[in-house]
Amino acid sequence: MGANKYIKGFLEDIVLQLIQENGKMYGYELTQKVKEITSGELSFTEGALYPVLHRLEGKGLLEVSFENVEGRTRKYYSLTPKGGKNIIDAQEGLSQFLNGLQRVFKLKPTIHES
Amino acid sequence: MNRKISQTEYKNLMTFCKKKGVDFLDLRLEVSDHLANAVESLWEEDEKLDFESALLQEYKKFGIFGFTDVVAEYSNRMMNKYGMLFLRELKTMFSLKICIAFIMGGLVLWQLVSTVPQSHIFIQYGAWAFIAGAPLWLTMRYLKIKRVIKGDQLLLLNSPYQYSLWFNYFFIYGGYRIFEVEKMSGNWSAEIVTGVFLITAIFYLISFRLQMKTKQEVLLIKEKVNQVLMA
Repeated sequence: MGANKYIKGFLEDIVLQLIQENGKMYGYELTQKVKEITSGELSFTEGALYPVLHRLEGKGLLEVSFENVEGRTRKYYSLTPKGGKNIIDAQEGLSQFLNGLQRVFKLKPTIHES
Repeated sequence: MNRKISQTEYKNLMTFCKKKGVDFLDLRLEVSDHLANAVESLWEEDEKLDFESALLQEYKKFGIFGFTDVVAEYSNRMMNKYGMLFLRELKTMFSLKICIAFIMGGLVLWQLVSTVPQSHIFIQYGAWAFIAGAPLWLTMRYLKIKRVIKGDQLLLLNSPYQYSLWFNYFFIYGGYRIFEVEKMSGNWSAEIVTGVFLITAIFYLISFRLQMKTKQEVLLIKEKVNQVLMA
């Protein structure tokens, strides 16, 4: 079970952060990227990822483009200026939240070696 | 060399998604691409795994309800999108030319309604022709567009909002009161009648423009799909 049970509340922020770092991404790429970065500790379920992507697009935080890649039509997501601003707010909020959690659970900060 | 999805298998994926209720064309493209990537990823581990088994394995990852959640969220977004598109269209539609046309039209109508009694056959038939005729015309256009895109659904073409707005409009401002005006509370003032007609005209004009934009968007996506499938 591990860390994955806490991911639900952070899905939108994780998606926005990854897209900001990579410029533009498609759904499957996002699922793989999360697994890769977290060495499999976190993963998106397909049924949860796409509703989140469509919600973010609906809120105007993401924009889409279609490209023909390897004989298939691929839908790419990229950040809008509004989405970029949202990430800054989210980072601030998350930082406060994590600080709070550390104090409540008396956790020691750890650094993962990659 | 890793095994890749063939064009036939990709077409099968698209058909599979449609059968599983993914009617929206752009969503179907997205889900099909996801499944194609996932199947190819399985083939990296086991190249001999057959296509159908790999597809089912990946489909199960969407949960016990399959694509239901994905489609439901997408439908919700489409409904909200219609409202947003409508407002955006309202903001951008009013160029100087259109404003002048509306003001002139409004003045002519106001003059007409002020001088001709509302019980006059011209006003009554005019009201009916306008209020009942415009939705009928838009519906016929909608059916024509739907024939062109052969049942594929996208954006507001699938939005029930479009119809609820038409009916709301009909009942709120509808012809009934204008028709039965003398039996109810006397004649409406020329200003109200003119206002109602102008607002109705704006509403239908926006609906028409949204229909045209949607049609173009659907055809563009279909063209992309055809390019890929024909390649």
